Amino acid sequence: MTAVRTRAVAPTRGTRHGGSGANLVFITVGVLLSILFAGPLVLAFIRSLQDESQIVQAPNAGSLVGLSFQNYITIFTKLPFFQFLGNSLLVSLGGAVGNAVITTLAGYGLARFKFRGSGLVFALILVALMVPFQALLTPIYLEFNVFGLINNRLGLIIFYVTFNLPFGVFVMRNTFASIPRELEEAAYVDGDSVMGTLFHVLRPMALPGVATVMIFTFLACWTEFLGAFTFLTSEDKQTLPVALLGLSEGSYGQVNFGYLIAGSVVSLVPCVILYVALQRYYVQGLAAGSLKS
Amino acid sequence: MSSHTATLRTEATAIHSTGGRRTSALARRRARTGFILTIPALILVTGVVLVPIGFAIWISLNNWPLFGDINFTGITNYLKIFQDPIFLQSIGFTLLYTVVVTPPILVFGYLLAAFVRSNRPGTRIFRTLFFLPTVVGLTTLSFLYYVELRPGFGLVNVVLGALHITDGQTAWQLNWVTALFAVSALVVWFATGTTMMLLLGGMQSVSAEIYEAALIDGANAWQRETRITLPLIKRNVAMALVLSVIGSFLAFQQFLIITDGGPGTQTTTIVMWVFHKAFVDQQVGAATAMGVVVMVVIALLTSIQLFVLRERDSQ
Repeated sequence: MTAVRTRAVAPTRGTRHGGSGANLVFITVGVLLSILFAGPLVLAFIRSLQDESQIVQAPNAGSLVGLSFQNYITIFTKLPFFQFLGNSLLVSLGGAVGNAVITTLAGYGLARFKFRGSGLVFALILVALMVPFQALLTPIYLEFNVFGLINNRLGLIIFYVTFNLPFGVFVMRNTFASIPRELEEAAYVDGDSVMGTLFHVLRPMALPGVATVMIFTFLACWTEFLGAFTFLTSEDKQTLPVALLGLSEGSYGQVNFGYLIAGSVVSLVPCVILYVALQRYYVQGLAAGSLKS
Repeated sequence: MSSHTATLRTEATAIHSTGGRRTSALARRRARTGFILTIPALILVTGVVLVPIGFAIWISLNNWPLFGDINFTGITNYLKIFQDPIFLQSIGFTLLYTVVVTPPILVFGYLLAAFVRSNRPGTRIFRTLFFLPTVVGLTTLSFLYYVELRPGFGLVNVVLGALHITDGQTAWQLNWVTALFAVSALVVWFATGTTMMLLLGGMQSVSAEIYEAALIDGANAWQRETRITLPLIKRNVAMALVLSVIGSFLAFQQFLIITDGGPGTQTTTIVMWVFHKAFVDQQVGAATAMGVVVMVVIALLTSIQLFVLRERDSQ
């Protein structure tokens, strides 16, 4: 698993014959591309501050006059966006923590304890990677229905944890495999238990892996649509992406583009903050997580 | 997998040969502990993946309304779905969409990766910014894009109108070709960053000496790219390709949000139609048969991907 390094970059030809003129061209092109990729997100934020009559007019002299947070105030006071935000936070945190715990245990077991059938266990976990949940919506729906997990946020968390397991197991298995064995052996000699060793001795070295699993799973759950759309059926349990569909279809009366844009910004800001703050962990997860879509 | 079991076996024999009975008793206990640690993961995978796979096959062999009597009908569902004109149309449309978005995602992703792999000033910031659309997620972007596609005031139309490419009044969703084009443009913009990151991982492991040697031999930039970089990162390219194909094949929310499958059912993707069959038409048997077909196709694609990755690991 090649982790994409964000810090240490192997020197390439760029440094060799890159004079200041070449650098200037590079920066110019880079800034233009940055506007192409990040500009629309900034624009979305500005649009979210316009009122509806400004949004539905082509840009003109008055487009930036009287910007306000009114759209945000409305969706949080007149529409149940606190509820949606809470639901999204709950299932995403639940998914992230649940996945971190389960993949830490499984990764530790697979990396450090050689047992007959470990190959089979790993292969079974890989099945979750090879099968798209989109193809299993109906059997999972019927099965969850039997256990009362439909329209149940716990059910969605279980679903999220399972389909994010494979990448987490990869990350945690590699994390434990890269920790020197001597540390553990010393702990065993001192009579520490398996779990004791995991928590006291291995924890500091396993934390980057755990961080990778958590941030990656959190964002995967936060942005997930089809599962939440299928398994949560009542409005009070909906997550942000599904609630936004309601806004765009006019479930709360007439379609209001301002609310839709403001709601979208609410849903994208945590992604941007988490990514920028914890980029290193995210990118490490991508290499392993790229095994799934 | 074979190389994995091989290492397992050598380590197991190592344990047995170094110590006497005590070592093997310890090894047994550790083996049990190792298995116990994987049990929570196994329970979830069994309950939410393996059992549903078996269940899916059983459901697909029955006439299974969401409410009402269920009866065994053998392979009837499979025969029926391949006579369902909308299912066939959704397969055709999804494949077309996949063919349309994949080449630009790969080409632009490659160009971006080549652009940010050096350590010129600003490289790290550019990398972060190019990747932002991917981080934000396709669902949120689709809602924003839905607004900006509107004729007259949507910024897509405003910009195209200002550049005199269109009159700025295009209702993209009214025609399946323009709808496909509009959604594809969004997805290419969204997914290019992912491909960039995947290829960048490969490019960074190519040693600088190779390029230096090529420079001395007088290779130009195009030759260095096609004769050195591309062959050395071909596994990353293959991985990015398969991921892009799988992602496109499973397309759902971008079309639900932007076109709602229309006009009519002309931009309905396979997953949208599976969902519709199951939860709108309430024909769970037929929907599940479609799901099984999707599952087989994706399993084949993922096998290719895992094969590619295994090759790389054994390098």
